[in-house]
Amino acid sequence: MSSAEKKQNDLEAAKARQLMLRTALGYALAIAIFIVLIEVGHSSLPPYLFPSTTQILSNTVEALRHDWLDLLLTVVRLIFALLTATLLGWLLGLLMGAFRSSVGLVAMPILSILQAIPAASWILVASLWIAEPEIRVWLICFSLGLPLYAISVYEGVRDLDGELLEAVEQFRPTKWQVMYILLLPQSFVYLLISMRTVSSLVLRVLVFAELIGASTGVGARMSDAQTNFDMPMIFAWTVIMVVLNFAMLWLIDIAERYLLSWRREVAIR
Amino acid sequence: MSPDKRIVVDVDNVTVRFKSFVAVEGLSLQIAKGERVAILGRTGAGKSTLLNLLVGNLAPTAGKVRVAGADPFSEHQALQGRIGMAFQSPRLVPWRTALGNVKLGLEILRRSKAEQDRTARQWLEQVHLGSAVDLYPSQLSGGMRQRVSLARAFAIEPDLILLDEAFSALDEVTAADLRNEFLRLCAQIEMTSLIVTHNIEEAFILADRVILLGRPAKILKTFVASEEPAPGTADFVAFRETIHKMIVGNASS
Repeated sequence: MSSAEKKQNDLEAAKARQLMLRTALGYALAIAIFIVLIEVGHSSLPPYLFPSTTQILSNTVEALRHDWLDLLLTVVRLIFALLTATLLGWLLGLLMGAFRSSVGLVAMPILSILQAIPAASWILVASLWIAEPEIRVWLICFSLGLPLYAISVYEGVRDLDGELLEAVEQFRPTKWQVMYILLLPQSFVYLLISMRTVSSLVLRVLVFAELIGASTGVGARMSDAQTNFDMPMIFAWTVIMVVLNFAMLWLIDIAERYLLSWRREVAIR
Repeated sequence: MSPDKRIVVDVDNVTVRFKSFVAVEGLSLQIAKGERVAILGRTGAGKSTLLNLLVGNLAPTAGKVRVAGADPFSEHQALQGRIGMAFQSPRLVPWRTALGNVKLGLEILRRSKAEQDRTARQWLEQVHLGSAVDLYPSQLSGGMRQRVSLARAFAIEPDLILLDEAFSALDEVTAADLRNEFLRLCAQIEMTSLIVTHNIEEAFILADRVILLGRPAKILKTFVASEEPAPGTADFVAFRETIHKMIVGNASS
């Protein structure tokens, strides 16, 4: 590596460190603002309506100690729902993109209708139709995630650079070779990017589905807290869910940084 | 042209019409093995249409096109691995390293993994990028990317290399460097090439024969490069002016 390249690398590393520090400061500030708001709420409302931060924290610890199995169950459900929705959504999106005039033509309107159905409808219908809670919760999350992933991948395939395709087609590849060389990696970028929004959304709907249609999981424990009018516990589970969401986004971020390392991100001065 | 030389490109009285628009009219052109031919002409002179005919993206309305004995349009797969192309922009696959990009054609031709690796590395060495094999296109300079693009086209050792304004987006020093590189590689494996450019000097540096196209694509004049003033000399400046006038004159007529 030349000294100019080394200097450039050092500069980029310093910029990355600076960005990480700024992000951490941003989060610290956001947490401080929330703590202040909670304390203001606590001092202006009765404690049974608005608990203090210390109460919320002690309930968080208690929830983690006593109901960790429910948290684990929610995480397992989330992973399973996301995994199936991701894989099938990816496959469907790819097929829609590769065979636009057949699969794409039929699947797109179906997915658009599925997407327009409110999550609450899925939850209520599944709760009445399906007796088995695991299948019920999975179906709700899966039916929410699948169209989002499939459409995102489909858009990715449609967004393929025509010039790049021309460059590959000079070697006269088969349709499967084009799929493997171009479409699969290109769609993967879109899949990974959409994972950020879809997983957060699925997590929120999963908790709601558990609240209405399951006796286990974080949602069910939140339902118990609501029945017992236990506000500190509702806040505690909310904190746990926010942390879980951040952990999930952090993992996606690591995957993105590793798998999309070939991308050069541009920064506006 | 000596009759014993094998003809790689044979365009015989070709006309291409898009509805009422005539893009190419009665064009005939032959390129022998190892010959480098440059096509000069203004925008709309049918240069891209000619390339599309040779690649097989387009069928002629009338006439015949043959590349290495096959019809590029109707015998599309018969020419697999026999035509390589470098474009104005490098068009590298962004998620593949320089090595991965050079391997691309070899992979499509289903060469063994070991051969893909060996050949791609050899060609990257040839274009002086032996130390950049693991870099992604976003980590390479414009000139380096174009070198990778050339290596990718050469790696399959095709019968015909097509250059579509391949050096026009580069600065003059890098372009000159790459032209020399291209000539060296062509000489090394006796490569047949068709170079489409709008740069008069470049055409005479790279080609044995320079064909001036008028609108719609028809041959205005053919020059044998060795019989004309050498690029870079004072005589070439005047000669370039003459060619320039011929191109402009044809366009305004």
